[in-house]
Amino acid sequence: MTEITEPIANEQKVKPQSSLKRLGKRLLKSKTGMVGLIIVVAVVLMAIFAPLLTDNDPAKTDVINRLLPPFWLEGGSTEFLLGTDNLGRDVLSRIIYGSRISLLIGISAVLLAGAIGMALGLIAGYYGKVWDFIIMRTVDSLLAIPNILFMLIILAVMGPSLITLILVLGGTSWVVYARMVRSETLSIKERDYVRSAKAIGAKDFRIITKYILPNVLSSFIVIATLNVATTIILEASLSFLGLGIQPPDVSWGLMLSDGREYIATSWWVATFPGIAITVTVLGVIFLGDWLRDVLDPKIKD
Amino acid sequence: MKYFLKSLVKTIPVLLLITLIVFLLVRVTGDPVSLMLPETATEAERDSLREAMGFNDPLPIQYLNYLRDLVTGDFGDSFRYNTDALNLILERLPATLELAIASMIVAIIISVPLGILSAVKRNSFLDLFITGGAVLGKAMPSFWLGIMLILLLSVTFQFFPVSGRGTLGHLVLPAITLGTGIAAEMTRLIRSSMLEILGQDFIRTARSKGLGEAIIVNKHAFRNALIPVVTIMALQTSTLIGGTLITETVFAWPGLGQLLVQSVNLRDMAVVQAATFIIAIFVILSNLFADLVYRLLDPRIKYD
Amino acid sequence: MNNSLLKVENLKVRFKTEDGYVSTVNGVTFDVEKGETLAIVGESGSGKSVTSLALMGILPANGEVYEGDIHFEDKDLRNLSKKQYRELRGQEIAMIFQEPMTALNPVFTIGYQLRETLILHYKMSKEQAQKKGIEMLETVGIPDAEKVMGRFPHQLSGGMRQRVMIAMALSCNPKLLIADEPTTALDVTIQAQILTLLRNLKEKSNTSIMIITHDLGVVAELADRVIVMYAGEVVEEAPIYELFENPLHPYTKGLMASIPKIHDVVDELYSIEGTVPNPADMPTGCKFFPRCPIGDIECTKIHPPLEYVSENHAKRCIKV
Repeated sequence: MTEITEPIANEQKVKPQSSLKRLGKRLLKSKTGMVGLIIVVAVVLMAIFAPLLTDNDPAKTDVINRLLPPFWLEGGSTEFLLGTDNLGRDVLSRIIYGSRISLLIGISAVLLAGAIGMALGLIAGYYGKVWDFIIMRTVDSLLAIPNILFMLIILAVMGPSLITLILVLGGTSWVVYARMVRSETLSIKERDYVRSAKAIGAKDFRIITKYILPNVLSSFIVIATLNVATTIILEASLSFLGLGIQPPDVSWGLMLSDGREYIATSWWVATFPGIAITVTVLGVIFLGDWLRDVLDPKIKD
Repeated sequence: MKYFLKSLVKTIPVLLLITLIVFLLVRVTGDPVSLMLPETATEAERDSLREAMGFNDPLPIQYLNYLRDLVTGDFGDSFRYNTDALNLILERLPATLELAIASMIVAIIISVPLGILSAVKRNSFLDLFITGGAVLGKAMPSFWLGIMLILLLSVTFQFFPVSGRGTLGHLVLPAITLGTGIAAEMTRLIRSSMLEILGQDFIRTARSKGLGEAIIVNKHAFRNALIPVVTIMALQTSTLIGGTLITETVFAWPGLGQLLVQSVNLRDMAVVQAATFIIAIFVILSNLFADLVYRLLDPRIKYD
Repeated sequence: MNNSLLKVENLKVRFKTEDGYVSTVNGVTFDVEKGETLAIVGESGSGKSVTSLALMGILPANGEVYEGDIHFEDKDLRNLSKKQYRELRGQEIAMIFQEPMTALNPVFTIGYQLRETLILHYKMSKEQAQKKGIEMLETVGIPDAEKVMGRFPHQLSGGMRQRVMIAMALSCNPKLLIADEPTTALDVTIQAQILTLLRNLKEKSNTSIMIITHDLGVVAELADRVIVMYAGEVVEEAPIYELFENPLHPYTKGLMASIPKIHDVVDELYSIEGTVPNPADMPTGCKFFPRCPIGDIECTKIHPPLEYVSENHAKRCIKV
């Protein structure tokens, strides 16, 4: 267990290029890690270059061409490769543009949650006592309320928008990080090098940033990556339930919610966005699992 | 028993915090009166409602009043259904419990054999197939899976009804939808737990005694592997209930989850508050239960 | 020697790894006679434990016997079906392990684990098995045996657990008991007790014992005959007195020299320099050469055969 994090904190800084190179080599060895990386890079490129990939406006309605099937089916058109939805919007271009929302929310909410969780976890673990009690009881309380319900309530009260969605997703999922960071901090602060730093009078802030933070980082990165997957699904779920992304913005979850009504007649409207979510999340999970194997063999499922 | 009582006492601050969170969620983040009245209501109407509901009192007083009401079992009235919120919730509870239990059964039926099998045949093609399936099950949003099941098994083949509750047939698709995600998680857990146990010395002892592989795996190893699995799964109650919100919406399952989603959308906050509080208590109790089961399964803890 | 119970000939075991097969037992030949105690001695990595697991047919999943013969009485163990092998294990050949702390299943009671073997092999009823179990615990010197039956492993001390392991192994009255480092993990005083117990039990029954150890002290206490293993090969074989009086192989001499003698005042314990070579990277010629104090260039050229210098004393060295 301790072998992995035991080396003195300073060793973490040794030759970053060579460790990056090693990381790359190990990535080539892991097939799933490679698949994950390819998927994630593809989705990121898709989000950045969306306008170059499709000429169709994802929000443009076209009632004459509503519910057109994909091009390979009878009645389909090569103009709308994956067909159109109930308002005649192009499913393919909506999927391409939808990746922007998924990634934007997935990444920014995770950054927010990570920052809050890291800070509170460090405080709870390092200072202990009242801080620990307050923070950890809050964590327990939040864990007792299903997070999707919690988010729904806040969104209902504050009104759904992109910003609130990010705030809500980030503001509720920090508990995972706080727990992990706290328990790691508790064990790290008892190590000799931290004790001796304390003994020679190092300031708390310096000890936390210099000795504890670098040691927590690898577990943190793994959890954050896997949390991107969870967040993408949560965003889609909230949009599906009507309290996430609002039209005319495009979100895969929203597309699914539209498509559900027409499932009996026009299967493609709900099928393709679901595949988009699944593949993206799969890529992120593969990448996260691989990172866990490489960076942090001690955390398991 | 003493330990159990101790844990019960420990949950008191958590419960208080939950009431505070639920209270603050609704009272502070928005104006409850404007949520309750139609947008056309006049300022005078709003004021009188505010006064009647006690919203003009300072927040701490409001909170104490809220707590007092909770203790006396008064969860407020639903303005939509015009009835006691608690009754409304209790009415919907059986349907949700039915769904939750059915999903757990689905999850166990899928994950126990597959998890054991993939651990025993580790690194084989079968193992790859099962672990791949488990990751896929985790990556699929449950509402999409639900829709796809409807498309395939209700629309195309008409094996099961599209939505609603009633016969056993109605239960199948929602239970699979909700159970798949849990099954995926459990399969991974059982696999890694079994792998760890199968490498232990006492498994070698069991082999040296001449026991058959089936007894070694299913009894000696699985009994040990179960300890972390049961504990972690019981801690997933909150996720399971969160899942009912979505599954019930997809299948128009008339349970608590559907009621909650509707109430949130209609801003029927009395129902939302009451349900959230009850769910939280339920989750806390099931966590205590998990702890108890853990102690029951692992003899090493009992006597410490 | 028609008296032999177990006959191992040219046994070779290999393991599948990421970089191909690695052979850890390279042609081991020995036999165990009825009623005899044979000790297999060597450092860790010499292949002695793997040999015992191979005899029991319980090698890890990536390991296999790929050459050689194992005969137990009239049975060819390499050609037994899985079911026949299972019936043999626990009943005719039993085994006790190094780590009594982890060798018992933590979630079952001592009684359950004892009864299990008896019910399996003797088709006893639960009551009969319980009675026999208590009897066995008493035999291995556990006080309050009836109470101990209801205990879980973690409630017993290491020495007690090893006694339980011995009781379990002997409960079906096996013809051969394989004891893999049975005392290594125990305190010195407990070690002595366990060795005495094994010796007494052997005197009472006709069980042959194959004891695997790195500790020549244990060998002196218990064994009739000794096999010294190095890097997956037998390097010396001799009766116990012969070996202690006249060790031939430089490796054996090294092992002897590293036993502390009570009356000698020494500043430093002697130890053989270096470590057992990695099985994936074996020296050609004599495998002990890199650590050998008397070897020369000749030793790197030929792989020495096992030669008998007298009727029962053999060595694998061209220099002595």
